[in-house]
Amino acid sequence: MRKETEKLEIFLENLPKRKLSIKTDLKLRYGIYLLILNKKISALNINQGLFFKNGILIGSFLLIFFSSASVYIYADNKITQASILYPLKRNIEKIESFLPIEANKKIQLHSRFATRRLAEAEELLKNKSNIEVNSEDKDILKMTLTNAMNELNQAENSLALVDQKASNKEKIQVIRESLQEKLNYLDNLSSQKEKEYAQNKNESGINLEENSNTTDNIQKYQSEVPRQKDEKESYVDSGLNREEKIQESENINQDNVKIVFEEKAKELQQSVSFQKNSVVQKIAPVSFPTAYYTKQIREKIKIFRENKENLKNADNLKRIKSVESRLIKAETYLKNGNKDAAEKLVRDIIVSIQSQGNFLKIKLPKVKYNSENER
Amino acid sequence: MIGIKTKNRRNFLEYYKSFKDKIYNFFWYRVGLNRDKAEDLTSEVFVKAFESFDSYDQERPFQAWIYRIAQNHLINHYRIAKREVGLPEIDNSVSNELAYCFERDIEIKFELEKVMKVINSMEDYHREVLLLRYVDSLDNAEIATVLGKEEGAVRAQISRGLKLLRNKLK
Repeated sequence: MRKETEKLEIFLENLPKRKLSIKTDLKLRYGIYLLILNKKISALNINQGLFFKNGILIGSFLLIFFSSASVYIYADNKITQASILYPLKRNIEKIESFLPIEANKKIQLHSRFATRRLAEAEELLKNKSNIEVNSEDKDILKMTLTNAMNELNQAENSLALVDQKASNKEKIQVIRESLQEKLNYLDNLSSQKEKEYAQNKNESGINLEENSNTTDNIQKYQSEVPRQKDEKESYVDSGLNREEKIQESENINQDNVKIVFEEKAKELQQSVSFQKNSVVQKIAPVSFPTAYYTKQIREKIKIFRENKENLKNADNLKRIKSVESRLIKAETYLKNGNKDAAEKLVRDIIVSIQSQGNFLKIKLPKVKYNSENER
Repeated sequence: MIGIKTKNRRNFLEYYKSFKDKIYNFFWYRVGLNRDKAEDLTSEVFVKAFESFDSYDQERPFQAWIYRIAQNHLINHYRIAKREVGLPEIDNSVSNELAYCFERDIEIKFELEKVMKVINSMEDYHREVLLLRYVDSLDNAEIATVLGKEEGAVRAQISRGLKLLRNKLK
């Protein structure tokens, strides 16, 4: 018995051992070298400034911190094209896509990258406050979506190499449609934006280019200073010497420019804020579930009224009556198909419930109503 | 401080050189002797290991650490493969693969084929301890670390596994 077991043990220990192929070994080794390089570069780029300013201690801490952070960067959808860490993330992906041999793995990988690009685009769209109306952000979004599309194409190419399973095809198709939708949306947004700019130009007479770039504005107005300075030099001598006169006129000019610039900046701010709000509404057309909230509020009112103790309080009665009267109006609007008015009213009701400490204990939407514009 | 510690750290590539074939073999025996799949999984494990290398405590054996990553990766691989039904497995039979290894010695080939079939038909935990012990040459303490079990339990499982294997081969 023991002999048999020993024999079996020897046999198992002598099972054939294979070696990693030279091709894979080289690929993997190269991949690791690149990863090491990336890690070092990312750590250096980020830390350089602080290293000299704050000394070795903070520098080494950050170096360690960021080198371990690269792991998180890799999978974090919040690291979008707008982030300085984005190239690192893309490089790690490139290395990863370089490694697999099997077509199956390649499909999985590219589909995963495409999904990730999509998530990044959604992240960019989600942070409404971060999305400015300038073309740079639009380009970033478009580039992210185009990258996603490229990944999908690569996944599809790999798919052609193996059995064409329906589930994979469907999966890719779903992602593709979602991407196409977003790309179309961006195109619409672009034309819409141009229209709005043109409209604003006609209405306010402000140059569009001035509106789009604040630094250009500053440069333009600063360039006007010398021109105005020449004009001021022709003023009649008022007892001051020439240098003092120039200095005085320069001060006056600077003040004038400052006033003009402040006015323009104010106009610009208003214009950008207006456009931003309108674009934000268009870029993420969140369909507000008016009917759902109307129903919810109605149910909560019913529950609220069922508790007799609630009705003993005069304030509560006043509150509930106010909500109820507005809700009836909203319901009437909904019945008549006036969705906008109904939505506005329901939003108002929600804001008032929120401001009164959510006394109806209703699950409210995660939307902040900070300003009139956003409302 | 941190700097002094990093000076003494062994380079990741040194570890890679020592363990690449071992990890490849680990996967080769667990994915039906499929070379391509085993190579891909090996690559993924080393990329994963590199990413979390900062968190690796050099006081502890690297072998147990990397095998643990490989073991988890394998579980993950099977879980994903189950979920994503659409992905076809490349069907290289064990027999073909063994024929490649033992072109001349047909007798050993048949015996090995028989043993592999029995091992593959065994319960997961028995198969795993036997492979870790005899194919991957891990000692009981290392197997215990990889599988997250007590050393005594591992010893008992190996002995039970061997007994089962012997009975099935009769």
